[in-house]
Amino acid sequence: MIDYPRASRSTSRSDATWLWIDPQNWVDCATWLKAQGFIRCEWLTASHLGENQFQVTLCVSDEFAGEKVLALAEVDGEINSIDPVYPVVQFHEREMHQMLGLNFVNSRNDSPAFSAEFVGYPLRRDFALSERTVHEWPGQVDPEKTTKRRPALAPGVRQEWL
Amino acid sequence: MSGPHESIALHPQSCTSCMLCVRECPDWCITVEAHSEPDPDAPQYSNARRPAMKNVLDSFEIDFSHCMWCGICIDVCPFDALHWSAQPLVASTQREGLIYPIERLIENLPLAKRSDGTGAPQIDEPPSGRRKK
Repeated sequence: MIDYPRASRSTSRSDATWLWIDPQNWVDCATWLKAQGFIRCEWLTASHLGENQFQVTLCVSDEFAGEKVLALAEVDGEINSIDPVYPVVQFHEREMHQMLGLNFVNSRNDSPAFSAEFVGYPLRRDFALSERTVHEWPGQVDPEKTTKRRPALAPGVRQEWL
Repeated sequence: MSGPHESIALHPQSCTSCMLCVRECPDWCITVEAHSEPDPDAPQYSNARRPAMKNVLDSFEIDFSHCMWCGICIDVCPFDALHWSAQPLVASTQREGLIYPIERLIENLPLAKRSDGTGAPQIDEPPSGRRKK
């Protein structure tokens, strides 16, 4: 099991080694991983935790994609770009910048990844999905019209959107 | 989950139109139409206030252009009406071609498996789950 010396926590799971690292070590960790032979960047993604907090996840693997490592960092709105280490992440960083509003410091290209017309950041938890409010939820159908079911809220729709 | 799961099969006799799969689907890709009618096979009780009713499935559609293969519909079905199937999903140039009605979901049954790896009930077989009739 590979273990980054500055990782705050690490665990070995069936398919990959997971490393939790501090945001200030993000670029250092990526550089270290590449030096250890993890030359393939599988993907880079982020999830919104609420407010301006995000969890950024980088997945890299060795030359033959046999061993994988996931590096995870919780960040407050911005993180350093690892474009110089793994150039392939540039598109993923542009995607996250457009979809989540996450800033990548020292990014060489922060132009929108997609030519889509929307306002705001659709992958944030507080983004109201207009598709879910204008379409009728199929689960509203009740074959047993005589029964009194508890009104169910459609999955993916928040009460405040209605 | 066991074996390949290229598509989803429906055993319509097992479906009670309980709507659980429709309501749990995160992608809203299942549409069910059903109606309720008196059940002629239900036991007759002299003190019954109203006739026993049963749901009759009119249509069941899965829109595979929205489906993300999460399998929640299969997991929540209490009557084993939905199964993973190894039947490959046929590509289509039309969106309508990915909306599978009952007739096409039945065609996936021969390669369908239950969660324990055994074969799913076929179209000429009675319900095997908790649905009694």
